[in-house]
Amino acid sequence: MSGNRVRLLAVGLIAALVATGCTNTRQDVNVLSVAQTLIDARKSERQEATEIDERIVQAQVKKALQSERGPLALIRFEKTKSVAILRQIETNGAYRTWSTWGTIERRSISTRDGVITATRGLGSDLMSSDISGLLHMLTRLEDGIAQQTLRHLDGENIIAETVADCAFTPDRRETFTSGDLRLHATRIDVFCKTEEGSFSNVYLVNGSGRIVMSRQWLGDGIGYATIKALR
Amino acid sequence: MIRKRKVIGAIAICAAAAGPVVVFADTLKTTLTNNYGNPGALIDMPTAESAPDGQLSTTIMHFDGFTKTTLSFQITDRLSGSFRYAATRGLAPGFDVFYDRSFDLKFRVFNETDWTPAVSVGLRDFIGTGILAGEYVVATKSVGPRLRLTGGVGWGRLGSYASDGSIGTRTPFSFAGVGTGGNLNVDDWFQGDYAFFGGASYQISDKFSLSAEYSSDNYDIAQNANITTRRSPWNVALDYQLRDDITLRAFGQHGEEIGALVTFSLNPRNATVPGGTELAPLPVAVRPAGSAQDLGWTTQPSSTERITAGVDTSLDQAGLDLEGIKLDGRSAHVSIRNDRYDATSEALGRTLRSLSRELPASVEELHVTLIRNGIPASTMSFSRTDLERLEHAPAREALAVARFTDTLRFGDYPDPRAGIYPRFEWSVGPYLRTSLFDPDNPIRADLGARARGKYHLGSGWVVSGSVGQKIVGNLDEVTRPNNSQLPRVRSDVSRYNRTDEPFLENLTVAKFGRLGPDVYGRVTGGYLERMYAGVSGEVLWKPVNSRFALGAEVNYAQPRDFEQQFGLRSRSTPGGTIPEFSGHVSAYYEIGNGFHGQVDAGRYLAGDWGGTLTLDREFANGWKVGAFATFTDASAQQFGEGSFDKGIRIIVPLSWILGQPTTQKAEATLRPLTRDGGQRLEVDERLYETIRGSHQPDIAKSWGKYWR
Repeated sequence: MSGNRVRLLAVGLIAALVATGCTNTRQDVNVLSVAQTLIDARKSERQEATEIDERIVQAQVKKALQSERGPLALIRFEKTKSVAILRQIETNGAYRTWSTWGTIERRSISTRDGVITATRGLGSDLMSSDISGLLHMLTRLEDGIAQQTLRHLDGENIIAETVADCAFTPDRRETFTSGDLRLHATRIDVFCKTEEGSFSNVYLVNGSGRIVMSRQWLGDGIGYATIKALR
Repeated sequence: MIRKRKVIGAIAICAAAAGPVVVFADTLKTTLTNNYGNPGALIDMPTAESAPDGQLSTTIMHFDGFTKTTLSFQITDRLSGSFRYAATRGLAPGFDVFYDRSFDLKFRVFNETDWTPAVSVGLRDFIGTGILAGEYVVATKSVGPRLRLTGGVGWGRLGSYASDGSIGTRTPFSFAGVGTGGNLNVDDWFQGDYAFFGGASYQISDKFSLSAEYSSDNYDIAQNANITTRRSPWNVALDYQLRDDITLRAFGQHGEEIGALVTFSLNPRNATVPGGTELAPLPVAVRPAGSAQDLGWTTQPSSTERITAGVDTSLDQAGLDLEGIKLDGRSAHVSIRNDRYDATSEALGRTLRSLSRELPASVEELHVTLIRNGIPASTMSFSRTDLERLEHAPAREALAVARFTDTLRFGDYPDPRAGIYPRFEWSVGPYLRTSLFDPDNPIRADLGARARGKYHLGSGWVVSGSVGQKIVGNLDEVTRPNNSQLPRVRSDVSRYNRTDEPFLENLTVAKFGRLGPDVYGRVTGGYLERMYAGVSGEVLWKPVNSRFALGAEVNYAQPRDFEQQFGLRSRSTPGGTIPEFSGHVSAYYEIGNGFHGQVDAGRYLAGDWGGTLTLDREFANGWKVGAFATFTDASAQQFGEGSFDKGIRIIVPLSWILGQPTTQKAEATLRPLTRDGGQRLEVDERLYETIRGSHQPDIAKSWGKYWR
């Protein structure tokens, strides 16, 4: 990404100008932390994302199901190939906020009825979404069109809205197995067009209208993520 | 069957999208720059193309004996500006290398349409010596996605080859007539001989592009000095996009010369990681229905301490400091210090999130006072119900219900908790000091170490100091004789740079205070900056929701010893006596559309009276690119080379680079020349920039980070 490269170029110069060696304040940026950023950025440019062994994932899922009583979910990010087990940490009306289970690092996502509406701490976060139309379509299990809005922060920290027109196509029924869940669900393919491009989401909805799996596009930065309920 | 249904869905979408889609007329954007560093794909000749809005580029061009380094900025979508430093070997009598600074402007008057070209008007070297001066009207039209054709008419240098006619008269350039430079020769613009020029550029692939031009610049001055020969008006160039931010070019010029060019570019609007990579905030805790009626906690004697401790810990984890807290059954008021988040909205959002988790359910009204240098800068109020209701809503809905009040108007604010003051802050780190554009050596620098300390005593009292030690550098090699005709208030800088001993940068006692609603005050005394000691007093009027502010500052200053220890030196200098008093009245205005203006009028350090005009393009992420010019009653003759003080400044928020919130910024001020006219005292923490970030207009700009 061009941003990273621009950063590499600029970091050294600006670090020398303003960064401090050590300090007791919150405001100063340490020379070492700037250098670290430089190295990390270099590394991440070279490193290829590697797939995590599915057996390890399943073993962790099992462990989480045994130790945790509340709602759990599994999330996969296609770009980074990273996987995380999520546990619900807060609810606000129809919204649930989830955080990674088993780590103390605070990165979170929010969902509404099983669909991701926001992320935090992932970089290029999805700030909020309007998915009322989408949820309405998913429960009807019919062909149709609805709008969806995704909001991100742009490079200036200003909210940029992506409005997508989405076509819903209910597909075959399939068996869904995930954690403690084993059920039949209808697959719904959703093709969305924005001003700049398009994306294809997939949802699995069971007989009682619960969205048990969602593969959705979360923006240019994060790309696609799939969230599955584990219980 | 299934497939067919999918296709139908997709078609339906296309039909639905066709209505509102705006067909964006390509306004001829380019990230290429020409040999003058201006946005454009040709070689010496201008085009009507523009860089993407906000684009900042540095272009270094060299061919035998000629070097130009240009900083260009796309000020608005249509307007671009450039600052150039040109070095030419053997150009002028008496100079081995002739160095020259110049400024350009280019404005796109008409956008390209399907049938008509984009048209731009530009001025080259309109405020310098005039060696490169030329004006033009140019049209560029794209033909398909790869080919762009340009034709135009130029005056000055751009009308010097195969002139087709003449309009009015133009003062011919002569080195004798350069004088002090820096004049706006408005009378000469678009006057004299004119000539037509043209060219074409072709995008061969993603990486390569080719351009050719017919140049109307005869290089008269250089040809007269016998340093170049122009055999042909045709120039060609091949560009290679090495990376997104670096372009290389090889060009052939005049049928004689081969040259090279490199362009580094970046755009403040493209952050490393949009939105940052900082960890997630706490989720808002929603109160169970009916729980808000429970006031039982107010009767428990220890509950306030327990709640305070909880809020303190929670804010500390968010990187914020709790200065004070006031609780009653239905409302809570906290005062916080934000030294971490450059977007104040994010500090406020995280504070409220913490409060939602720590405060008893009966507390409905939440107030947050932002403390700056020990004084309240603003109070933001947000109802807890709204906080719960809007957590997952678009950020603009939260902005609509957030109320900002001047803390003194709001009424009381919490006293600092025990142990908050006194507070000592320190930091140790490197420093870099540069000297640019000295003809003997255009880039000089010192690298050293600096230790800073700040002692906050509370109630706005702050003692701060900074000491430094040069480690390596060549700033002490400056040997230009000082011929200033004004009191030497800044031109003796090289003597300050000669010390190899530890030096005291500053050591001051400052008192910040609130003089009344909307009014702020500051008095700073001591060793104010490396060249002056004295007392500086300032008053600022800035309503919390206003984009407009007024200020006044009066300074009493004595010049410091060149060694920058504790001693002072005499105020009399060869150019005159340095006056004791200087000061200004200032007006600040956030114009909108990303522009900010400032006007200062008053008495400058050398006793000259006048005004400074500053205009900044301010990006919501904290980037600022601006220019300033000071006009005083010191004549161009007295001022010397450059005629008046002017420059460019760039502020880069470190968060933009790191992707992590930090209030640290890198600031660079680029002056073509620093002389004695139009100079001001450099006092730390002037009120406007100290206070402004806590006020509604500034917070609203990056409000998107409120829920981040």
